[in-house]
Amino acid sequence: MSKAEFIMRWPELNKQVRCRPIHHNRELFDWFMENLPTKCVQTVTVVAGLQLYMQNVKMPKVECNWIQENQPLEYMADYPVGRAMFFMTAGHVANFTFKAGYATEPMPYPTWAEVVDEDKETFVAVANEIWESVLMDKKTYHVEFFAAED
Amino acid sequence: MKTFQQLKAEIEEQVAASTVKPDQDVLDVFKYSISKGGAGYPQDNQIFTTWFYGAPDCGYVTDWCYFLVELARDESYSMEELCKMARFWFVQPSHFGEYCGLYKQYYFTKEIDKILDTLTREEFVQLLSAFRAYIANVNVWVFQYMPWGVGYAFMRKDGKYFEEALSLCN
Amino acid sequence: MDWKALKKEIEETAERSVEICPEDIMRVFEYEIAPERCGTGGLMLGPWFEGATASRYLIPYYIYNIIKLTKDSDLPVEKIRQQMNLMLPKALGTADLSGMWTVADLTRRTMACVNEMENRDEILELLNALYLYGSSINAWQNYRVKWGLSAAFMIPTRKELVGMAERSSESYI
Repeated sequence: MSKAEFIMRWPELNKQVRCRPIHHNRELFDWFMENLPTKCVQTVTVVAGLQLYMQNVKMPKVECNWIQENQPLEYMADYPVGRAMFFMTAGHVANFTFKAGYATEPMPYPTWAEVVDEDKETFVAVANEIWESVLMDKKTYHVEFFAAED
Repeated sequence: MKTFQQLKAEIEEQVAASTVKPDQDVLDVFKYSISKGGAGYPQDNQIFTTWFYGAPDCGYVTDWCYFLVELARDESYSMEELCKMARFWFVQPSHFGEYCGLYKQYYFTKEIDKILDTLTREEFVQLLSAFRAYIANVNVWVFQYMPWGVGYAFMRKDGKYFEEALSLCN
Repeated sequence: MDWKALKKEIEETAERSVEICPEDIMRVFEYEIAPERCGTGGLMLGPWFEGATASRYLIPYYIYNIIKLTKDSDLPVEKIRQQMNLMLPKALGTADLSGMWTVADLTRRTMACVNEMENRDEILELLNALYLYGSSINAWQNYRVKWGLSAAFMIPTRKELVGMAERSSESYI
């Protein structure tokens, strides 16, 4: 059986973190794992509180078979740093964020994965570096996702 | 839970109030730069990103309502389907608009959500049309108070502009 | 129109747009280039505000919702077409006017193709391709808007607002 862990890696920064499932939405985590490897442009949110934002994530193998509104949800302002939520995901395209700092948005989303505790410092540092880049020099960053056992 | 007539009347009252006088939520967010829900505060304590994302999400609720009103005229859509589409389409952007400080429109969204399943087709059309009129007014005041003047620092450029710029580079 | 050829073109454009920032984005958001009729008074803030929003809604929001609803409610082909033709045109026009030419062109051609297709699975394949490409555009816009401008628009605290009110009599006007 596959290990329930994927790696989130930023090639331009030569940094990576491990991500594991959380207490709910395990089928969403498994769906994501089924579609690995994949990659996208790394952006950040700009209103709610710092999050790494992945908006154009190709899910090439298995299309989305769940609806956001039918899943257990958590409020963004309340869940911990390092946790991921899906937003506007359908068909073969995923859209999700990983929370990287204090957030004020009190809206509910289906959370589904989290950066492991030992890697959170690295994760937050990456997010802050990309936020600074969004404000200033606009360097391009990518993020890759692959199963931990690969 | 309000009745259809009560809610429609309440929305229409707000439409009338905001037609020639500024909507208070818009004044708060766009004229006074108040972050009522905390939007923008954790991202370097600025309101600009809230303006950029919150306003249009609210503004496009007018379009979602228009689509629903048009589709409601097609009898092949059941009321159950129309209500599901309404909940899929405009509740989330309206909620985000609330987070961005546009409170009244989300209050109406929540009230509409409560009675949505009780509405006849004609009531559905009338209620969403009224709500759309209010959101349209909100949108007008957003455009009134956005500091478009800052755009003078970002004027449209063309080939001639860049040729001249290149000629100045060493 | 050959839907497979269009799908391939969109997919290749989407692949490229993962690696490098698309031309539409660089043209409009970085270099501030727009057609002469675009941007009242020649100001780019309008095209950025409206164009970015229209592009965001055109594909990531509208196509997402059509795909989602098709899956959830088993929409037939006629209703997919109906919703596509209802939702997309206004945002398409705004995106085009704002200089998002590739976005507009690929969307327009996808709509024309879908209007002639009868197989729902094939329609969804084509729409999924457009959805991924449009999501890339959304991502790049989110990244390339000149957010540094936001430093000029600080959020006042309650104390500051009270302080401003206390000083209001000092205003010349």
